[in-house]
Amino acid sequence: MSLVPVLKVNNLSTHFHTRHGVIKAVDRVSFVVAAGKTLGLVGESGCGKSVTALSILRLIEPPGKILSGEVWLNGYDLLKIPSRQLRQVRGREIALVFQDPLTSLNPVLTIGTQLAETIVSHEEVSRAEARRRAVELLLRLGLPDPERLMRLYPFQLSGGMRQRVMMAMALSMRPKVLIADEPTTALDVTVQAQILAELKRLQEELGMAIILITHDLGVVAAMADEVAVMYAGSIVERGPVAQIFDRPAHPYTRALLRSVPRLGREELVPVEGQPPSLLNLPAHCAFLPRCPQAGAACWGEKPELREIGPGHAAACHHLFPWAS
Amino acid sequence: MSISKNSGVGVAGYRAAGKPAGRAGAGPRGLPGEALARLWQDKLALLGLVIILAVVAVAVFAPYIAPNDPVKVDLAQRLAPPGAQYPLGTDHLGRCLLSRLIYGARVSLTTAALALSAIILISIPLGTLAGYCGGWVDNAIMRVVDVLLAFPGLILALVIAGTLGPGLLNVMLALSLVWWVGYARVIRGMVLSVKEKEFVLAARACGTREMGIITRHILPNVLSPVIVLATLDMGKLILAISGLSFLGLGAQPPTPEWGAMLNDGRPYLQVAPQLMVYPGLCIMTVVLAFNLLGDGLRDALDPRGITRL
Amino acid sequence: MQVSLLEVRDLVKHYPGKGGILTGRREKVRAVDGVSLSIARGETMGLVGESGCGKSTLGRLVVRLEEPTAGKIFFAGEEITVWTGRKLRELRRHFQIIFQDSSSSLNPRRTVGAIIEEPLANYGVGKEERRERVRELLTLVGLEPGDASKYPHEFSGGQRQRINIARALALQPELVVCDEPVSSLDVSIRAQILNLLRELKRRLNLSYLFISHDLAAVNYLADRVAVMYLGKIVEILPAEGLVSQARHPYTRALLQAVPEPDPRQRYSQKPVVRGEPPDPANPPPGCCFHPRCSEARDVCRQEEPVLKEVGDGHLVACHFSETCLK
Repeated sequence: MSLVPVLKVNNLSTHFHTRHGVIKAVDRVSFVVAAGKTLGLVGESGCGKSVTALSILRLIEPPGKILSGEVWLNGYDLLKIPSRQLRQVRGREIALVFQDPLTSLNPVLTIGTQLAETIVSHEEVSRAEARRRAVELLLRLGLPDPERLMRLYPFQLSGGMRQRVMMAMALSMRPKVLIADEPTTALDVTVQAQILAELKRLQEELGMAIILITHDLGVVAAMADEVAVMYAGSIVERGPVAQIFDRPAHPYTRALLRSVPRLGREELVPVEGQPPSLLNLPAHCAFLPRCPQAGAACWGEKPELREIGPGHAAACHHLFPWAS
Repeated sequence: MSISKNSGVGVAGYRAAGKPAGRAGAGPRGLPGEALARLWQDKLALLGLVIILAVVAVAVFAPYIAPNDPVKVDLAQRLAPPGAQYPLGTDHLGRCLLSRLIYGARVSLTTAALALSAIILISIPLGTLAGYCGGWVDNAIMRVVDVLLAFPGLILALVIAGTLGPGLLNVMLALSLVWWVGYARVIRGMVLSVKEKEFVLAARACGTREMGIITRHILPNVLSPVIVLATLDMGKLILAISGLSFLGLGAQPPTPEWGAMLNDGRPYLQVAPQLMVYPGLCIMTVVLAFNLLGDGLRDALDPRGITRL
Repeated sequence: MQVSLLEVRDLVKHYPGKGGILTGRREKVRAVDGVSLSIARGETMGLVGESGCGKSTLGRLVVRLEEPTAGKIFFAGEEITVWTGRKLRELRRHFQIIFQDSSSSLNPRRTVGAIIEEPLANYGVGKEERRERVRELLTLVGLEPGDASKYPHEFSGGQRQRINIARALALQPELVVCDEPVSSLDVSIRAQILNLLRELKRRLNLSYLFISHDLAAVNYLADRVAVMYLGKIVEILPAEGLVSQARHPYTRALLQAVPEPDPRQRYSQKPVVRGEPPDPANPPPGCCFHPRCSEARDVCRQEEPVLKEVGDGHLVACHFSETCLK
């Protein structure tokens, strides 16, 4: 089956210059997302995954600055095209869904108005047509009685329904890429299961590429085709989901997988130490203080991503074949 | 201030990211130290602080600095221009303008400070009671607040001062009675939000008595906005006192007070404008200084980085 | 038979409803609607459920931070439901609570040492002894004794949670209610705290009421697991049997919905449970789960099922608990 790359991120770097120093939120991040496939961008809070998503759409404001890199979509580098063209891309070609829909939805407008406005602002259709399309979208997202829903305000909906509305808004333009930043983190697990299933179904229908940003390894395992693991602003491991879970090569990925509670009650091996501050990161490997395999070489240069298998790369000085 | 999964990164869909950070920012000096560090960086606030300190110094050392006796009348030298004996000239009764300004600092600052102290002493217990107890206590106190707030402050002060009779003490009383309500409201609001915090519940769970909860947990967390408000209000109080004195209700002759001096100088505006200009400048400078310091304190004491209450 | 450390019988907590802007009616919110369970000494009881099910409220009722509307609470055999004043204060030495948000459970204006020694000061422990105990406790939870002079904001989320644990253990309680203690922590830190809690339980012979929406985390620590839905307990079973022997449709739905970190177990079928989590102000008649249950029959709409014993230490509240096991 051929993979059609839709979005290609190359060496993206975003730094924040603050009073206390430089925060290298995103440090030379590269990945490719294919049509109809999901890339899971995994990492903990403060690792830079959200900033990566915002950088792709040039939504970074000072003191943040996108330092370098390219973001290729449809043959254009999104970081270089003029703002007018970029505005066409945002919401249309690439859609963004956040974690907390309560702050992303306008509390004083009804759902119907907001949905219709989104559609009208991007396409030349009448209000009535826009509303009709909105109802259809809500149905496809599994929301019962969409007509009634359109008349409600955001605060009258549950968290799960609001997130579905957000997704409806995002998908109304049939984007090529959907970036979902922790879309189900704040939701109950049963609602999460429903929404992820719907998302998968819509992905198949629309042939859409998804960048799913999350810290939940279970969600990644359930949804992603490719996984990129981020730590302290860099991608430390990248590969097909089966490889990442069965044969994790980077010590951080391995440590993370061992420390996540599973239903089988296996013994948890915690990751030692604390997640690092992104402020004034040292020049060596960021995982060094917590790495059970740290050696002399690790104090030198930061390791680069190296291919270690088909489509599987990791950034570590002590890569060895993962022996199970 | 990390972009953890508990903080929404965007607002209204497409708002850009603020500053993300790891565990950056807070230093090992603790909350007051961190606040002072921030304040130190705020040049305008420092300017305000310096001015205030200078004025306080002038007020404290008034007897040593003032060239002449501020109440000594010298009719031969009425409305004299600046000279050797009277560096800024004299007023309509031949009193040294500079000395009156210097002693006026004393009067203004002391009166305002005393009034502010009274305001805080009244409002903290009442605001805390209202917020913490809720129920009929809250209702009763807040109804009084509502009634008082319905009147324009200065007018009410005017009425009270007018009824009590002229004099600085009565002005202080009047202003205290009028001003405490704003503080009580703010304090009540803060208490309401703090008392639901989990550290209050935790204190209760580990056996702390109610009084202990109020003094150790609620009040310290309510204090920062009060400090900011108080600093900003010093300026306003000085203006109010000057205003009332200007109207004849505050400082009585021969007490030197900037507002009263403004009033005294009015008939002589054409002839000797300095009689109004200097006191006016003093009022303006001190009020501005307190405003600058108050703004700086607000930013220093409660930036998003430190107290995320 | 040993008297259980904590027992609640038919515990109820209703909150007066706020009139909706649109409806104007005042409906009661039945946060906890008739819960009975017991925890033995040295046992960890896991309490699992989704938002709005009442588990946090139950936790607070147990440590008397909230007053029950009805029902009874027993501690070490004595009924403590209505104890107040000095008796209640004395009682508080025996149970403590750890909250979810590690930062808002620590007073930002006090040093860590002051925070941890507060319970000790409340019960008349002398100054020197308090200092010593604070040092001991900090070491116990894996922090440095010197940390006592620092402020909460100087610590990371995981470390703050350790401080919370240290404070909870200061009075040497027998029962600790852990209300979502790791949910707001980074993934790589959760295991640290979970293992710490487990270690402390062994060392100090603690009992836990471990409340979480994270089924896997609860299962890791718990001896028994209670599943809550809409203010009621729908199933209690031993933790080892959770995956294989769960009978209640809601428990099964939860288990099926939890995404395991294993790509081979992707969602291959539609989720078993339909619909939205319910509104505690408007509970459905009969079995509280019936609107979302794929097995619901007529009786489920009419009659509320009772918690019945179906095996060793295994209770289920379902009309079809015998036949539900596929």
